[in-house]
Amino acid sequence: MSTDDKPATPAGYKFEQWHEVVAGDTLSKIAKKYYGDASLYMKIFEANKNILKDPDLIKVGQKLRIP
Amino acid sequence: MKLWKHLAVLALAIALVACSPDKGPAEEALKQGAAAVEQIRGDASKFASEQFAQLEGQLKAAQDAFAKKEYKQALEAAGGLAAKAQEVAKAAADKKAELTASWDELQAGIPQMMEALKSRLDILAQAKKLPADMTKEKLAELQSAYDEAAKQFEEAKTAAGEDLARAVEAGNAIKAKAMEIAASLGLTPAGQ
Repeated sequence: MSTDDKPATPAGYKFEQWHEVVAGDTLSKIAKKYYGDASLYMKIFEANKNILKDPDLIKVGQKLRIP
Repeated sequence: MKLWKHLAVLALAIALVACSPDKGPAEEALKQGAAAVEQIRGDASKFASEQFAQLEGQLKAAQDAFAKKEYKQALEAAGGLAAKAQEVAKAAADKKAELTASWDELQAGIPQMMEALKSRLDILAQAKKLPADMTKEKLAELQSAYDEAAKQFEEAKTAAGEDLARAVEAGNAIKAKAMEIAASLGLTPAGQ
């Protein structure tokens, strides 16, 4: 089942964390910040495949969901 | 002489019946009232238990009065039972609808909250190092709290078939616990 197939989440039940990309960010740095471990950067890439095509290519201002 | 005695007894019985014009109507009102109470028992005893208990009290008072041959009082007590039963049935239906809506929301929302928590806990469990604001002990506590909440949610789902009020109460407690865990993990409600 894809994310789009899930029933709508009632208000107040959806929890998430977002990171806005700033100059100098890489997915590894972001993974280090939120998970303590840079090697987990693919978790962030997988969660943002709708806007990211390559884990090495992120743009300033992009808002990434941190799973 | 015997005949006179029989006639006297018969005359007394006729007089008593004549003096109790309320007996028949009281008996009928009691019958209808008891049926009305019985008809709503299922949902009313669950969803409007206090009001239903009062209704049963009123029925019992009417039955007691009837048993004491206080037919007028029995008729008065039983007379309003059917109408009151309808009021209690309405209150029970309203409460049931309210609880059902609450439970439907909890049942739809909690799994998605739990999924977000599990995702983050699973990722942190794989991390060789943890973020600055997290320790192994704290992560273990959060995992334990998550496991407990997940178990309680399964129990609440089972309880919902029997006791919707208890399921909603448990669901709200699980939601509150999940919000605490989420806050500790840095997750915030969408839109905030």
